[in-house]
Amino acid sequence: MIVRLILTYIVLVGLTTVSLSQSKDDGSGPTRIGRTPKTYPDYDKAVIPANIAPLNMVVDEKADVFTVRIKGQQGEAIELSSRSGKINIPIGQWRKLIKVNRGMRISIDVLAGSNGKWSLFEPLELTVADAEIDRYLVYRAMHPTHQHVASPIRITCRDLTTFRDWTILDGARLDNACINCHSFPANRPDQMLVGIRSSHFGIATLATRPDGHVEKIAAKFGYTSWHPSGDMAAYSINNLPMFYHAARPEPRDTVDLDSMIACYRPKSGQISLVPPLTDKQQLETWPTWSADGKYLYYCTTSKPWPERTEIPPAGYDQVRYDLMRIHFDPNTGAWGQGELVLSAKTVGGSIAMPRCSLDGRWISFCRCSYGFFPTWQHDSDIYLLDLTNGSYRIAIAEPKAQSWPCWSSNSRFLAFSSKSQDDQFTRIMICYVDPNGNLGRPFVVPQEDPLVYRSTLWAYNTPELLKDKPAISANRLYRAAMARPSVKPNLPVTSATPKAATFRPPGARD
Amino acid sequence: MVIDPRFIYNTAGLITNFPCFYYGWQPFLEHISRPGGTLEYITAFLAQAYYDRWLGAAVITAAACLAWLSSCWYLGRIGLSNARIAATAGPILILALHSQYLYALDMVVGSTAAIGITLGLMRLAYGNAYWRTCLACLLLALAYWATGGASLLVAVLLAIAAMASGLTWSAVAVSAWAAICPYLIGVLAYGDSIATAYSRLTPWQHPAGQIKGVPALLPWLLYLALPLGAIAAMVIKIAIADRRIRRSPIGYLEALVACIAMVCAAWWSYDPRLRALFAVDYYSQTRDWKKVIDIARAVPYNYLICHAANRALFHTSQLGHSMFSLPQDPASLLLSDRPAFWHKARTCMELGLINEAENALCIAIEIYGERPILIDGLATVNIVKGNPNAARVLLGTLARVPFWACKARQRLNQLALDPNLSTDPFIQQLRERMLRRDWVRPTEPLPRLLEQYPANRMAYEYLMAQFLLTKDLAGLVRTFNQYHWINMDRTPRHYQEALLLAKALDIGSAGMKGYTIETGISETFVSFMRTLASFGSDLDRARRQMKDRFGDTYFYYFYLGG
Repeated sequence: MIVRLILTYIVLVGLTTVSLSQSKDDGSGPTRIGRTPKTYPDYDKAVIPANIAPLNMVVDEKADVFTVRIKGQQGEAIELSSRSGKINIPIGQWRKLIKVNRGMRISIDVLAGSNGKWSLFEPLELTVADAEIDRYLVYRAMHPTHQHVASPIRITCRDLTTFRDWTILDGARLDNACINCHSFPANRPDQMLVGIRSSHFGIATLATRPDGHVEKIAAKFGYTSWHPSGDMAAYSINNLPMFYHAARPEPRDTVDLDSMIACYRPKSGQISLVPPLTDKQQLETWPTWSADGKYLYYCTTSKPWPERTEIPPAGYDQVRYDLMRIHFDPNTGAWGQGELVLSAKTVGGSIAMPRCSLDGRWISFCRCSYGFFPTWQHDSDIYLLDLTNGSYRIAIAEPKAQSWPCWSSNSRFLAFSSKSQDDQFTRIMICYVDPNGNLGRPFVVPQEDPLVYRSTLWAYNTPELLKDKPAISANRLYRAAMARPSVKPNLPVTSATPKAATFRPPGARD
Repeated sequence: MVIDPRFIYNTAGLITNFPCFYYGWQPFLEHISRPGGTLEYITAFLAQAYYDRWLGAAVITAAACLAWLSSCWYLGRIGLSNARIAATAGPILILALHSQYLYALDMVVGSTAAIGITLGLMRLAYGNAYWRTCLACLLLALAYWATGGASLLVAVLLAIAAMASGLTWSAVAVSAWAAICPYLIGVLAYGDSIATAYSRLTPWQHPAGQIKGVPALLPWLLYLALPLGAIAAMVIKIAIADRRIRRSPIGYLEALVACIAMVCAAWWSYDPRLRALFAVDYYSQTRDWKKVIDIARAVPYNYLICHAANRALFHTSQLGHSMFSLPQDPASLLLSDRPAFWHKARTCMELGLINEAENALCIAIEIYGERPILIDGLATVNIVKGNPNAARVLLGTLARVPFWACKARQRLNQLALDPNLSTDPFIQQLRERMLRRDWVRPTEPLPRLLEQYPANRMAYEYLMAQFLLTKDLAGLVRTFNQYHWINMDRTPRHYQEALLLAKALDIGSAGMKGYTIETGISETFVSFMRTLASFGSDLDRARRQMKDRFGDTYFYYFYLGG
């Protein structure tokens, strides 16, 4: 192994020397190109976590050979050479380089050679943040689905410091089940909720406990947020039919016909309702807990259509959600009254997918022209709301839809789904947020083979950053998913906002 | 009667289990990391040969030969070499399966591999040596991992072999181990359900099970032919031995019986209508319109064939001239009766309903898997919509598929030079027609397409065809007056027939002033009406007797058809 490394090093150094000497042979030196090279993915000007895996990339320029030099303000530079343009950075050297350049800049010089002539591009600049991102990223991989029939869908965990990834749950192994949003409490992997919809194994939610036990709850959890203590999870129950546009860029759309928010307590297996969050005249969705667990934030709007309506109902494109919050006393379990945090009118659009940072200062949210599902709205951008003074600002305004923001546990990074790189094939991007809420340029999660994004139909969404590796064994999840439900709450499985008489008071566990 | 493997490769939107195959380590590693994945990977690779008729035929023939040879060896090893006629069941069933246009190469390779594994294990499991038995069990576990439920066949064949050649404890142990391997490896180690662990790559999971009738049995017969044949041969052998009757060599007779069985299977399983469905779709993909029309003329009405034929007629500028020479139904024009995403996508794209095409293609990918033709279509949709990045992803995926890589790379190079493909006439034509006014509820799309782009000839001809089929003469006259001369410089026969009818019935003819109908058509109309009147109210008789003379006219469709 060592011999191979030495030989590789000698060859690389040799190639670089030869290439540089060739350019000197011309007597003119390399021609300077007054721009940065085109690369895929584009990492130029990105602010990267101090523990991220190497940013492997492809130089998208025409040349016979490329020589790349990655250098920081400190430490040894990394020299690489490639004929295909694929730049695979050795992980050990990369780690050393970003470790010693923490909080500083590193640059990537690209020298392209063709027919003995060399071109030197303007260097790509990266900034290594003075903070690390949570090591594990759990996301959902799926095809851009239009009507889930049997398309592949997986919940996958990725180690962001390396390229290692593994599947937590694969829909194909559950009779092509649809797997819904997964959620964890406060970036901890010890508890997880994930929904499954299978024609064979039913509609249910899997709940993992810290002891590794998995419950199968006979209830469909929508968008879910764990209380930071892990004692409770608030989730929405939605009725979300899909419909299609004949001509707009994104054909898919959905409408929240009816919704409400319920709470699940894993210790008792109880599901309870909170009266202000089950108003029949309102649509309540996207619950998210504040860092201290004293407030539940959610999105709401008045329900403008009757119980029975055509799909989509008239005025579906006029529905805009406000951001609200409701006080919760973790000691007594008492709920307060809903209060407006940020109105749709103020931000000039609909608010969705709010997420609180764990330092308690920020709420990130998506703003789109209408509706509750920003992934299918081309104009969706991510905003930051400063909870200390109530001001908000646009944070990520890349072209096309940005959605599913999620904070790292140190509140210094946002992971989110973006269509800016590959259109409907959503990619997970990472963006640095400094303590004052200034954002760095986002970058796509690096892959070992940088062309992997350009040769697969997988789209990635619903990122969740975790401090530790999820310990749950996939086999336990599969077994629980295939078993009969172990928790049967007394709440209708599919309908949102049930009438008062249709459910029993919380507490009854069958 | 010819089986064309290209039709199976194309799937025609009728085969849901044809595998996709990608070059590269990642798909290989993904496959070998699950029970049965290795077999799936190998057969997916072999199945790509169906892209070419001769290569596909070579693979099918080789598979049939291997199935026969391995069966012969097995029967010989268990002392039933006189019963090798049973070995011909495999090739006959392979022929029948392909003749029925079912994809079952995984079953064929799986059952052949199972026989091969059995032969290997029989060498090890004979005798009572512990180490041989243990090695056989280990190999069997590996065999389950590689071939999935096909290894159950190993258990059955080993059990039969044990019975045929005298039971030994090791043969019984190995056979029992083969039966519990799916539980131990599939259920306990891998986390599958019991049903999945035992049924993976077996006839249980074959989609033919959803077909009504005998074809549903074919995968089962393929799987069980050898064990059943071997058991039958054993019974006959015992019976013959009991009666002390010596069996005479019947090699020639066996060969004759096998040939007759082969011919019978081919004759029985050949379904010209089914073949027409596959052929029409294949030739539509390759834009061989003449063949599409010829096939459609030769078979009775079919929803999908009629749709493809109308598209072929449009592309050969015959839709308005001779659509009624084929059996017609209004629902088939735009496939509005039953969902047919596979078939609908191409028509929608050509009409300018790009989002509808995208939607149909995406749903088709969900149903049929990542079929190259669908990925290619989706790439085109994204280029038309101005999403070059998504198109690159799709073409990059296609570049990993055998036989498609070259085309995909060419397209990628074009995209690199010109992300809008602004010089590609097909893309430009689609962009011109592309619907730009949005709606979300079911709406008649063709008038909208014409409102936006009156020179959309396909939308015009399809709208006219729709009016003809629904006998909406007022709509036809209105559309004719508004859009005809933008799109055509002559008036097709059926339009003239319809205009004449509209004039005769005084429907929406105000705008037709100055337009004259060709004399021949007027004479045909007069002749048709006279003949029709002669039948009085007996329309059934009129329908039968006037078909030869007037069957390809719109008059016939209007009064007697539809």
